[in-house]
Amino acid sequence: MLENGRISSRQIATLLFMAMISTSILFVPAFTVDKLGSDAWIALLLGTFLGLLTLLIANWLGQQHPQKTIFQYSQTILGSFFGKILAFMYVWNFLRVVAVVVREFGEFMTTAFMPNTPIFVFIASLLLLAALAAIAGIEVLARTSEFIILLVATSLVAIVILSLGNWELNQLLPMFTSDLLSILKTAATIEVWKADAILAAMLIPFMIRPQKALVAGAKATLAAGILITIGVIGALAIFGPYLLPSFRFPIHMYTRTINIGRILTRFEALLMVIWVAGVFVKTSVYLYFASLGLAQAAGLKEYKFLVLPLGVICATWSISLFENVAALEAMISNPYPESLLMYLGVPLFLMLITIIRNFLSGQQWRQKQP
Amino acid sequence: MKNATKIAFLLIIALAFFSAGCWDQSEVEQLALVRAIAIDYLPEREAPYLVTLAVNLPSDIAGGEGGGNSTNPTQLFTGIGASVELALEQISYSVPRRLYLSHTELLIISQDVAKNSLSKVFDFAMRHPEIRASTYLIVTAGLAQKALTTSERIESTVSEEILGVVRHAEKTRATDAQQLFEFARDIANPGQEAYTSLLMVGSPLEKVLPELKEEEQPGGQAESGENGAGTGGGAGEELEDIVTLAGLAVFKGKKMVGILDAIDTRGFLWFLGGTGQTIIEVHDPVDPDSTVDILVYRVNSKLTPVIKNNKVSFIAEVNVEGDVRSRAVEIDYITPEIIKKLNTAMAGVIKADMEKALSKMQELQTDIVGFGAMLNRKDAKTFNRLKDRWDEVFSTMKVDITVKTNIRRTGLHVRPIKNS
Amino acid sequence: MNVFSFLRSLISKKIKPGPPQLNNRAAAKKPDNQDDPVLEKRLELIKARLGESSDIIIREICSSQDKVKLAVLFIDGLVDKKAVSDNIIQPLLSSTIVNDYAEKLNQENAFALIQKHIVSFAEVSTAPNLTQAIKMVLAGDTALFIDGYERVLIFGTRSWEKRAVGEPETEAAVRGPREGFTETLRINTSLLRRRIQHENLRFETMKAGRRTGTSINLAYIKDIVNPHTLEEVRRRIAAIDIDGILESGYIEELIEDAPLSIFPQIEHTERVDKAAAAVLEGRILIMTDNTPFALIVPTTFFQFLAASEDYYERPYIAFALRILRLFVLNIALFLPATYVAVVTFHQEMLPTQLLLSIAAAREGIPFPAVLEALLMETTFEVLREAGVRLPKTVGQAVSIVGGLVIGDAAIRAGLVSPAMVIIVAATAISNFAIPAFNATIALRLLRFPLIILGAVMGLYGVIFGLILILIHLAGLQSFGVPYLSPLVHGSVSDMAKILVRSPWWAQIYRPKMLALQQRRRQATNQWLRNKTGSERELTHETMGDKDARKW
Repeated sequence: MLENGRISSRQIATLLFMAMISTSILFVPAFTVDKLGSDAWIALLLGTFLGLLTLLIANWLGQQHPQKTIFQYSQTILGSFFGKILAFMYVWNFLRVVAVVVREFGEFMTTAFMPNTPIFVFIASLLLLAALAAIAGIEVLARTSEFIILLVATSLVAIVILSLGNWELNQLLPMFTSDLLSILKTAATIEVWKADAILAAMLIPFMIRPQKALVAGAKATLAAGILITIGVIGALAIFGPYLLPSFRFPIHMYTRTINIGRILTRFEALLMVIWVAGVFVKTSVYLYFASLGLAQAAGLKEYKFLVLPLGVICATWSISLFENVAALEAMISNPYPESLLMYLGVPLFLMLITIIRNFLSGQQWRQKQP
Repeated sequence: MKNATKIAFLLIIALAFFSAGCWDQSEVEQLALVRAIAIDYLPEREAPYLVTLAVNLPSDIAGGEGGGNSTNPTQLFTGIGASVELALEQISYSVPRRLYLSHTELLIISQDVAKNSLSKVFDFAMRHPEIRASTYLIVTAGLAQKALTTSERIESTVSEEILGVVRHAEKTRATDAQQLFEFARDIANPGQEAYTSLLMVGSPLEKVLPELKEEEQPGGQAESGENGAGTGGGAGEELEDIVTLAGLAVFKGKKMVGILDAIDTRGFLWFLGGTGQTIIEVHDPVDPDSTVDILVYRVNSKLTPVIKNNKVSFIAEVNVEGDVRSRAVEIDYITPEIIKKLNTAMAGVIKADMEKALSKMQELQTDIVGFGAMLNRKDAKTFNRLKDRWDEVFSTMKVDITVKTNIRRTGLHVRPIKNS
Repeated sequence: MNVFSFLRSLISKKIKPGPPQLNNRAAAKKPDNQDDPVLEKRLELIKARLGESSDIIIREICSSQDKVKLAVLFIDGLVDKKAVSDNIIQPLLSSTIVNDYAEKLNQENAFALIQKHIVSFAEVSTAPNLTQAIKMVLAGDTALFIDGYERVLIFGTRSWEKRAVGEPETEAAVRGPREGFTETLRINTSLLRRRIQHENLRFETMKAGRRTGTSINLAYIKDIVNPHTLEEVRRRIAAIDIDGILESGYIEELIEDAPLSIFPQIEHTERVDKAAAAVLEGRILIMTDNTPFALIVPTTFFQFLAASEDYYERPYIAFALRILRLFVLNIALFLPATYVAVVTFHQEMLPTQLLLSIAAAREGIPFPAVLEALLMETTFEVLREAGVRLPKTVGQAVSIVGGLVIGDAAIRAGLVSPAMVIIVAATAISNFAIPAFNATIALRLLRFPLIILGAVMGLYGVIFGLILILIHLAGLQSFGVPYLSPLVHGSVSDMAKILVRSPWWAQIYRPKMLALQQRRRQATNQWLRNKTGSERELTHETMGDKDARKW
């Protein structure tokens, strides 16, 4: 059997939260402030709403097809052939997300903490951990992330509170100087970070009480959005909108400025904990769903033996995808054509088709499907 | 047998992990902990950057008994190169340990560097992964290296000594030291110019004042050799140089353009407000020949931009609170009227200081107070129009200064002790 | 597939139920049709099977004018010989009783008469055949064979030399009863009965161990416990087919969910009050004969952080101590690894003064920090083991002296740095501060791989190890309850219970995670909660202090 585990609504919220916050906390502030200055937080909040939109659609689809992941009901909605193509597209996309995320992780660790270690060590070890967790199943993943979220949330809050002494809110002004178009464009770029809400489409069939998915997912998306906005505001309050874009990892520099009484200082270790644990959760969830999706799309009985090979593929892909960190940066700042398509467009499309088919053949169509 | 193969498989993976070596590992005792970096610029040379590092010798600090307290626990290493990085590399050729910059608390640059090539040095400091953003940046008049050769009088390392001097001077509002990220923030901000403390290395007072100079006396050497204590050394011993504050170094963009001396620095700091204690000397209203010292401990300043007829001006309101510290005149205790007069006198002094500082800043055409940034916050459109020629606008800008002072207390004494 | 299934098996391994498959070469037992109701033949059979051991006593009795032949079988040392003589043999031989029944006593009604009318011993039962009878005799009962009857009368005459009920040595407490379980199952059940005087407290007995025949008692409260858990426990114990069970540790390993895991999934206790509390909470107690350690099932990780006196003293101290224990848990596991990681990889994490002190301390030490750490940790483990083996009088002194002197001497010799000694001492002390001993085993062992991980990859390695441990823990379960409950998969009130021990008047519900039949344990209309109303004010005057006004 593919997967027997069941997760609670709190666990789904935790998984979504961790997936959203772990990568965005590090990369999002830089390029949003670069483009929008002090108005970055507006784009962040807008992006959060787009994520909520994705969540809504994913949830609707999930409730329409109970006990089925998107890999399965895509075949139902679009027919076997196109459905499988769509499923494979998603699998490919998830693998790419894993590769990119793992590469980001490696870049950060190498730049900020351990410069002499080859990046492959970080990539391989993280993928190994993620593979172990993915093999263990969704329940183990969910429980691990429930534990980790305590660590991560406490560390984040600690960092924000400790840095309050250095905040100068004056630095945040002037605001509202950007025009609407650039805000919207940046918000669309941010959407890819919040679009981890699409994971809800995969997770809903494993829930004990699927009706609670929407509320849980909404809580997670909002919490992640708010926390990141606070982080960006904090970084702006210390560095000002003119200085911030020159840093590659603003939150890292931000943590470095914490200096209370010359004793409470040097808290980057907390950041490392947040980063490693958060990226671990995100990677393992995506890897898990890539394997599960592949198994479901290809009609296999077991997904577990796919995990390690897919992990190896991601490892090599992450190295070959970008030549250097500048290419990575470029890709991150401008992903929106494909991300909007995959995360918002496709579910919307599926939803429309379902509605149309429902309308055409009455209610029976939906209920007839096994 | 099957289990054995599985375990062997895992072991091989694990060993591969470990045998690749530990790349970033460095034992603590293999590090040379750099506490301060001093950068000088010698323009006539081909390799103009002279970098001096103040490195801690750990065994002398935390060792315990017999640590040799007469020897200097800080060791200086000097190197020269075409850029700061190259100079560092040259230093590392003669240092038996790895140079570790993560604990650098002080970055000292000479005036030459500040005037000519701050951008390269600054970029070095910001990009280097080990140098922290909370390092203090200080400019010296003269060679930066001289600052590191001064001797510590109270602290254990020279970097702590200098840093302590600067940070405590901030509390007495004699200077305002900037950390790297604050400095960077000011540079990046289009409506503000950067500044930082200026230090001077010179002889201690004992060497300079003629009254304190030892008199040459035949046979007196033996005597003065017996009084060991005193100004830090007997006859014939060289007194080492010390570091003193000399005001602020003022920048325009990334170039230093001038100095605010001590008095102007104080005037400038009135604009910024804050807490801290400083003494103002005011003519006594009762007896204009003698003076009253007033301790100021809180300053609240509010700067508001005013735009009229496309001209920008500012209103500065400064609220000052203070205590009376010492008087020379022997009259009765201080009555409310006297306090009122003292208030007015003090306000006058402060306002004069501020105007003098402002005129100096305008003369240098650098807006270090941040008037531009304040205008930006209040009215971004206007500022955007003026952004490119803000220096000119600033140099002719009118600032309307109002100072309100409030002397609250008079210390422990009520009235002078009369001899009756 | 092997590698993956192996990796999976590291996470959990369920015991498959099924018929026991012991390698049983001594296969065929003699079929019981050899058993002969005729007494002489039976006695010969007994002698053949039990052998000529000197403690096997057979006493032949003739009763009722030789009409009925009887034989008593017991094992000297396991029975209360006085009871056997006075209450079993004496009535059978006594002329008065026999004469009363002389006429009636004949071959047909002998069994029923003897069982119900003649023998005066309190506890009597029957065994269907010789094999069963021998089993019970080996446990300490006395068997009465009546010529002509295949059934055997069994009397519960068990009595032997046992340790007195005293304070449990491994779980001392400041406040709380000082009674601990002993090696005799009957005494243990009596201790439990005294604490839970309710009709629904049930003891189910099972036997395990082919050659030891150890009795195992399941204690639970019938209307609270989760019946599925109970069934699972029964099933697993019934599946045990082993040579001998000498200690409850055997059972623990045989019924665990993941026997390969370092972390214990079953709690054990010597304290009676802890056992009673567990039973009251809805858990199942597994008591084993010949050992004072009873097992508590199901168990979660956070129970190892709870001590019973948390529940007897005021809740604030319990709260503070639990936070302390969580902190101490982290120290015991991560401190040496973090120290090694930070000192070798991340010197920028230490405040400058601290770094200078450590650097100064490490000048001249020949080993790298890793080796130093491993050396010191190993030395401490050796010292600890040695301290356990030494007799009490000598042991205390040696361990203290050993620690201090050796540590000091090592510092002076320049072999280790003082910082390292402090770290190791802090770790060791933290280990002792954790209430449950079996959890500390896991910590002690895991410290070493973490140190190595920290030395190889710095703080990232330590986090890597942490996540590995976490994945393992997240997959563990104890009889269906996730191991990390109530932190995961639990209600918020349960989660708070990890830290906060709410006062007794507020603990209305039993933990949710056990899926019990009855969750409510306390009524709400009690004194503290119902202070409004007709309660009169308690002042000096109303309490009868007539001089109150004078105060």
